[in-house]
Amino acid sequence: MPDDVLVLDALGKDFGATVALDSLTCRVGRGEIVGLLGPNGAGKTTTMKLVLGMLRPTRGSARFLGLDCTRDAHEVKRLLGYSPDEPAFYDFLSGRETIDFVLNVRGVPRDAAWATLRPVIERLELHETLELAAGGYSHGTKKKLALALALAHEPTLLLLDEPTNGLDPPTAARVRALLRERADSGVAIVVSTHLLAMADQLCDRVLVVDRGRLIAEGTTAAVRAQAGVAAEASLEAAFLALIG
Amino acid sequence: MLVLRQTWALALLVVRFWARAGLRNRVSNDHGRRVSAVLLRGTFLLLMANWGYRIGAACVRVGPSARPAAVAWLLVGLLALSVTWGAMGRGPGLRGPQSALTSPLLDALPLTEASRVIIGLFERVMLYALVSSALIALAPGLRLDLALLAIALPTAGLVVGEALLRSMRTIVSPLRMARVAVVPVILQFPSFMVVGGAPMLAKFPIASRAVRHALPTAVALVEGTSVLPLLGAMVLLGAAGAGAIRIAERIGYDRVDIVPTQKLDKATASDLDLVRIEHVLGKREPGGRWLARGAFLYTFATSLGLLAVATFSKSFEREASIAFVRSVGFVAIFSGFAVVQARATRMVVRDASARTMLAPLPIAPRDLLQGKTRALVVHALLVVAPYFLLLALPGPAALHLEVLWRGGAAVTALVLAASATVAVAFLTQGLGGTKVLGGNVGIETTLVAMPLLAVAAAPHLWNALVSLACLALLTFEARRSALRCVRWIDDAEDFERETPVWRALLVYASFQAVQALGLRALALAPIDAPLQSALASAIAALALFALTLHGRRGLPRMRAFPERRSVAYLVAGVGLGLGSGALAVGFRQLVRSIGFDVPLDAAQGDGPGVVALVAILLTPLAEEIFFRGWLQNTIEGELLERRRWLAPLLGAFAFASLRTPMSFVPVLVLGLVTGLLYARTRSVVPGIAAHVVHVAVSLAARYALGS
Repeated sequence: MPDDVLVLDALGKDFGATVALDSLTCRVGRGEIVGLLGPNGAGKTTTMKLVLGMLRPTRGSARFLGLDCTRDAHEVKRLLGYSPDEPAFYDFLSGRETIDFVLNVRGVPRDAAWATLRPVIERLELHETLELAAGGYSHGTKKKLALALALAHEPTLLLLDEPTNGLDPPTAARVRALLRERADSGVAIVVSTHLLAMADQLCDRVLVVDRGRLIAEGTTAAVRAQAGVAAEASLEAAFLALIG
Repeated sequence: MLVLRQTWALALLVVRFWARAGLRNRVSNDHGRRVSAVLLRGTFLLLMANWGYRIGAACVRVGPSARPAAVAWLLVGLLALSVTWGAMGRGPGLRGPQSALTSPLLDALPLTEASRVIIGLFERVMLYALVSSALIALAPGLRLDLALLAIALPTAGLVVGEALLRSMRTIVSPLRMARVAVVPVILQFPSFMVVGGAPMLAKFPIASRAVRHALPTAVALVEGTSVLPLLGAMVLLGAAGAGAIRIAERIGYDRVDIVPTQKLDKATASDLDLVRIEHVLGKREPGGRWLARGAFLYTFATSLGLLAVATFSKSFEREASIAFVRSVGFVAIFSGFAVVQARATRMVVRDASARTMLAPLPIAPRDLLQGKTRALVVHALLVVAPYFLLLALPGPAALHLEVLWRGGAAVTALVLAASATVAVAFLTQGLGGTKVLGGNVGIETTLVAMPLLAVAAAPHLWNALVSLACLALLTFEARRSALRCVRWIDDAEDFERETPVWRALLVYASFQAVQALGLRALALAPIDAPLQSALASAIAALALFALTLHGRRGLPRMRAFPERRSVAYLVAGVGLGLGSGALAVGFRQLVRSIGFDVPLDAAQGDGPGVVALVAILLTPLAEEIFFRGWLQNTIEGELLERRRWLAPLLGAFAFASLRTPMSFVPVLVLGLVTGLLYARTRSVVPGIAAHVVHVAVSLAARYALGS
């Protein structure tokens, strides 16, 4: 399908004798928000790191816009936006300087990027802390800055690891709205999370992973059906039924 | 129960500290690396003891009139060193991996401040080795009061150092404190100089007058009368320090790592690229600039001091100027390297902490290394620059020429070392070692420091060039290793962190450590010097043999004899050994006829019987198996097919560059001969035959010629 942004083909990763990801096959298209759900240690973050070329797959492959995520990792990193679960920055750079540093490293023209970023920063209420040293940021502020950095170069694919973790409910709602807008403008988004209510509200499709295996896939309604729970039941009930 | 838990926690921390010095590799849990930790610490310990003993003995040798002043200066220096070491590394750090003692995790353990101080004493056990061996040299024989002094003096100094820092922390904010923490790091340099220069200081009347109050104590120490007053003073000093720590703890201070909360001074956006960001962060991070500035002031003061003495003092011995130039050059290189080490560690720890920001960015490893190397080169050049003041020394043109080539060599060596150190910091994640001289010391650091210090100590330009070439090759390999392995910044992965050549070189550094350790340990035993040398060589040879067999697993099997024409190659080996041995003898005679004094190679021995046996059989066996069977093999594996001919040459250079300067050429020839034999036959026995015959001829000629 020409609209496929990300194609995972039987992707797997072992750490020594531990199988972190057994075999994951899926496609993510333009404008789609896909949730990667699973309990702790299911292989969600490993999947993201494999796509980013940070890890080399033991089996299978990950392709992003036709690029091999391991061989062409440099190019993939240039085009992707990633927000980690535990963001960390240089302690002695302010938020603004951190953004400038990342823009410089990515080789993105600063003025244009700031024009896109300014409204995002205001919506995330990041502007008040932007001149302070990032080393003193709270976890929530760090998450917001990481999200802004992931959006700064207008990527075609966003990989977000627990994007609303540590955010207060109003900010989390604003982040969800922001992501939906981005998806509507054609950006493919993969969200890894264990917050099922968030996934239910945000995602077009979910992949349920457990112990490195894909155990269910489809729209949230389809996953409920696969789990054998009622259509009006919460996604959490479906999830619990699936992972047994 | 609390006491038990406390003791258990203490014991665990002490063990952890001793295990920390080794090479780190999260992936391959190699026992060789664990052993290297103990070896490295043991070597440092014995090196310190050896240095202390030598200085003590030198203080006694200065003559009866100057002796009390020399001893007094030595005591002052030792106390100053103890205080600076007590205060070093005890301030709040920047975020990122911390020493076992400053980790916030420890706050959850039932550890009181007294426990931290006690562990600190264990951590500085090298200082105790230094003080005790110096005292043994000053007043030989067993004396209870001296034994107590050997414990009391460093303990008092360390406790006062710890107390000074803690008292400051009650009134100064953590961020400022992290800036202040640079002061003891810088002050340790002059303290080292006072200890090492005590015999020399005693020769100057002004310097002797400065320590006149300590002279009676010094006399008592040397003459064997009681040192109870000094002992009492040390106990009181220690008690005062302990009291101050207790008071500081009562008042309370922030024990957390610092978090910058203030607004930062503006940096222009264009300064925030991979290269220039090091300068921006260096300015803002506590101690970033002050360490380099402090080291600069130190080399500046040393150079200016020498210049002033040479210009104005009538008693200045002109002949000694070259020795002074050499020592100022040493100071410049040593301080430059200490700064480079400390900064490189900080940079890499900072990048490791900000890993989740950096990893998803399209950064080429080469650019990451380059930015840091450039910033470090600027620091190193700043520190070494004042050395060139010595060009203004009064004296003949030959002296200025010496100043010039030494300066040039120092600058080149530091630029190379900066590049190598960044690479090493990336390979070891800036963590693996023990904190010495403001930076981390691990086997990797020792590997870089060996040729660097050889440049500083080079007697002739030629030796400096050999060591520079050695350093350049090491830097090349360290960078190659780091460029291949810098993915660590991305994530934990099951990939190798080193190139096979780098790993082989690390084992060679361990071998050097074993040899040093053996020699230092045996120097204390009541056996003859030749036997000591033979035993040390034998221990080192066995260690190298074992490490090589362990380390070259996975490589193609070494063949003992050639696949065909074994006898012919064996005869060729013997013949070539005879030839290279004869060349070595001829070269030695030639050098001697020009008027050079030819020092002996420790490995070649200078005594009969067992010495000859070790020199002729054991050492060649271990060295051939390492240099040809492993190092040359791995170098070959890393080279392109059309460049494979370089492998015997590089192996021979590595083999020869570690020998005494005058045997460099003959050993290079021997290395080439055995290297080519290995390349041709893929077996080690012909090379061993050549090596054995070479050494035998060389030794026989030495006895025959009656040297």
